[in-house]
Amino acid sequence: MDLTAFVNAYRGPLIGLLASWGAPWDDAIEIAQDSFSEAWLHRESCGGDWNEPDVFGRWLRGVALNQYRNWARSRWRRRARTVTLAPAILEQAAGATDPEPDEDLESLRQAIERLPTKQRQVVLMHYLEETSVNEVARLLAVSAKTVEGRLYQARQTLRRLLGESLSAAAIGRMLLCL
Amino acid sequence: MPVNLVSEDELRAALRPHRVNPDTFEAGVRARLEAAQTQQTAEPLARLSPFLRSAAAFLPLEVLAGCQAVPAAAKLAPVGGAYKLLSYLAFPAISLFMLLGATIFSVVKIRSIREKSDLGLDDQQAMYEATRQWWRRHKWGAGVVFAGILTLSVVGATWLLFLFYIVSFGLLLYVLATFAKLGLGNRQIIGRSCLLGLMFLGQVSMISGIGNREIHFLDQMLVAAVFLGGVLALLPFAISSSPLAGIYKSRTAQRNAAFSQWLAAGFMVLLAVPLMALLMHPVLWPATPLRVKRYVESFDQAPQETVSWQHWEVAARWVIDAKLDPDLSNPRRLLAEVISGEQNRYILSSALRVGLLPADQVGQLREYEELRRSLVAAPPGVKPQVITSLAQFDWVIRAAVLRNDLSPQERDLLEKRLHATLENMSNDQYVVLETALRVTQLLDVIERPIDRDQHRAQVQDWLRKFHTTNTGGFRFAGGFKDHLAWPAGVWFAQPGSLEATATGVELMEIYGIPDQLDLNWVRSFLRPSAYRFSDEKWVAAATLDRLNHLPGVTRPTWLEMLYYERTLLAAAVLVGLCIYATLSSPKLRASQSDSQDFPAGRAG
Repeated sequence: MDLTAFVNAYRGPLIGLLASWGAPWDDAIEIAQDSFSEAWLHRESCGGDWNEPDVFGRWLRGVALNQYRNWARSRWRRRARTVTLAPAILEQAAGATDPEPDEDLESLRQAIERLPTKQRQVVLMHYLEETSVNEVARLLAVSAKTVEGRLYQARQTLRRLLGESLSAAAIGRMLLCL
Repeated sequence: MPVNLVSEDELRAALRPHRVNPDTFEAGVRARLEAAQTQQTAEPLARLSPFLRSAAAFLPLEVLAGCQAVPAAAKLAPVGGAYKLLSYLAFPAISLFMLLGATIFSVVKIRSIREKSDLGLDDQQAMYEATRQWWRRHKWGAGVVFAGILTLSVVGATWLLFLFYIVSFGLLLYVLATFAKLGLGNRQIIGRSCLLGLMFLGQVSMISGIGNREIHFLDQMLVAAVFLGGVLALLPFAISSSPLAGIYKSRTAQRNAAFSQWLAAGFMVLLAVPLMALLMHPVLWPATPLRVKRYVESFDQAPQETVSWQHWEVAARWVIDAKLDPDLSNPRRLLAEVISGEQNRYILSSALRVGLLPADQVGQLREYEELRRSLVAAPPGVKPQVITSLAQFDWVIRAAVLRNDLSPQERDLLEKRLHATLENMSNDQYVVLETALRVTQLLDVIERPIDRDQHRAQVQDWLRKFHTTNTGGFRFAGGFKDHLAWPAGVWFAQPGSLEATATGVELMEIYGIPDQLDLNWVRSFLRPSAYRFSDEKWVAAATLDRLNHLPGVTRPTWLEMLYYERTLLAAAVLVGLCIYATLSSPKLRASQSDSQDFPAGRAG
C-alpha cells in the first residue's frame, strides 16, 4: 500500500478519533496530518509488516496518541499549530460554516457530544467520512462486530437524548408522517 | 416493538461540516513528510528530546557514526537544567564503554593502515582526532569516573559501583537505541565497545578483591567470570569488526587477515575459558561430602606438616561425625612416618583427636612418660598450675586416657589444672580461642565434663570478642581471629583465620550462638572461594556445614540470598544490557562498511 491509500483508508476515522479524545476539529486535522507523517516516516519501526492494515492501524493509533498527548501537554504548541494552519484548510473551515444553521442538526451534534465515550468515538470515526467499520475497528483494536454494536447503541442513545429535547419542528414533522 | 434509531443520513449530515478535502489533507501530510526528511538529512539530531540532545553532547558522535555526524554534532545546542544532570548520569558508561573501545580501536587501526597503505587513513585519523578531542574536553570527568571505579572497587563498594553502572548504562542504551534509529552507530561499534568495557570491568573485579568486606554466600570472583562470559558472548561481533579487517585489498591478504582475526579470537578463548573455569571452580567443583571424604582418605602427604595435619583433622572429624565411614589407612601410614621421625607434638595431638593412634602404639611416643608425669605432678601446698601451651600437651592427656594411665586423683588434678587454664584465658594477653575448646574437650576425655551452663556466658563473650569483620591478605570479613590483640607495632587490623573460625564454630556447637553475632558474617567468611586451594577448601566446607547444622540455625532465605548477591546480579544485568545493546543495534550497512573500512560481505 502507498501513502495515498493509507491516508484515504484512515483519514476519517483518525480525525474522528482525535476529536473524540477532545481535540477541537481544526486541531484534530492538524494532529492527524502530523500522525500520518510520523507513522509513515518511522513505519519500519512498527514491529511487524506495516503493509498489513491491522499492523499499520495499530501503529498509527499509537503515534496519534503520542501526538495528541504532546498537543495536550503544551498549549503553546497547539496555538502555534492553529496559527500555521494551511490557508486551504482555513478556507474550508470557513466554508463549512452553515449560513442557516439547521436546528435539528445542531441538536444532534449536541447530543453526539453527550454520548458515552465509546459510542461517541465510533460515531465520529464512522460517520465523518462514511468509512468502513473495518478501518474503525483496526484503529480501535477491536472487532468489526464490536464497532457495529457500539454504533447501534449510539444511535439508540442519540434517539433517546433527542427525545428528551425534541424541538417543535421535529414534533411537527413526526405528526405529518403520521 | 420497532427500535427507534437516529438515521444514518442525519448523522452524516451532522458531521459533514467537519469533513476535510482529501487532496488538501494528503498534501499537508506530504508537506510534513518532506520537511521532516529534509530536516533529518540536515540535522539528524535536531528532533531529539532535550535529554537525548544533552547526552549526545557527551557522546563521541564522530566515533559512533564513523565521522558522518560531525556537522550534526556541531549544530547541537547544549541544554540545561535537569536534562543536563540526567545526561551526566550516562557519562560513566559513555566513558567506559564507548570511549575505551573507540580509543583503542582507532589507535590500532591507524597503526595497521600506516603499515599497509595510506588508503582510508584520513577518516581513521579524523576519528582518532575526534576521540582525542573528546578526551581533552572531558578529561577531568573521565578521570573522576575511572578514579571512582577503582576507589569503589578497592573500598569494597562494588554493589554501589555496579548499580551506578546499570543506571548509567541503561541511559546510554536508550540514547544508543535512539541514535541507531537515526543511522548513527551499528552493531559492530556497540559490540566492540561493550566488549572492551566488560573486559575492563572483569579485570578490575579480579584484581580488586571485590566483596571481601561484605556479606556474600557465593564467591565474588564469579562476578569476574560473568564479565568474562559477556566478553566471550560479544567476541563474534568484535571479530567481524576487527580493525584488521578490510584494510587488505587482495584476496590472499584478506584470507590472512581473517586468519589473524580468528587466531586472536582463538587465543582469547583459550585464555578466557580456563580463567573462567578457575574463577568458577567453587561452583563447578563444589566441596561435596564425597569429595571431602576422598580428601580425608587420600591424606598421605603433609607438605606444611603441622598446618596440613590441623586442616586434615578438621575435615576428618567432620567426616567421622557425619558418619561417612572413611578409610583412614593412608593417614595412619603417614602418622607412622611421623612417629618414626621427630614426633611433632601438634601432629600427635591432631592424630589422637581423630583417633588414628591405637593404645598399643602409645608406647612408641618418646616424650609420653616424661610429659605425663609433669602434667600430674602436684607439689604439696601449691595451687594447681595453668597448663601453658595446652595444644602441645593435648596428645599426652588423650594418650594417657587411652592407655588408662590416669588414676582418679590424677584426673582430679588434671581437671583443676584445666579449669585454671580456662580461667587464665581472661588474663592472658596472647590468648587463643583454641584453648577454650581444648579445655572443654579434654575435660570430657578425662570424664570430668565441664558445667556448660556455668561457662556459657564467658565463652560466648570470648566468641564475640574474637569475631571480626576485618579483612586482609585475601581473607574475607566475618571470621574469628587468632589472637585478641595484635603484637605492638603491627599497624594493620587482624583479619579472621580459617583455623580460628573452625574452632569458633565448634565452640558454638557446645556453648550455643552468642547474641548479636550475625552468623551470616561467618557463613560469608567460610563461603567457597576460587582463592581457597587444596585443603583450605575442605576445611571451609566442613566448618560451613557444621555452622549450618548448629542447633536453632536457619538457612538464609531466598530474599536474603538475592540481597547479599546483589553485586553478582548487578553484574549479570550489566552483561545482559551489553548483549541486548549489541543485538538490538542495527547491523552494519554496506555504505557504513565502506566508510569504516569494514568489508561489506563480513558486515552481514
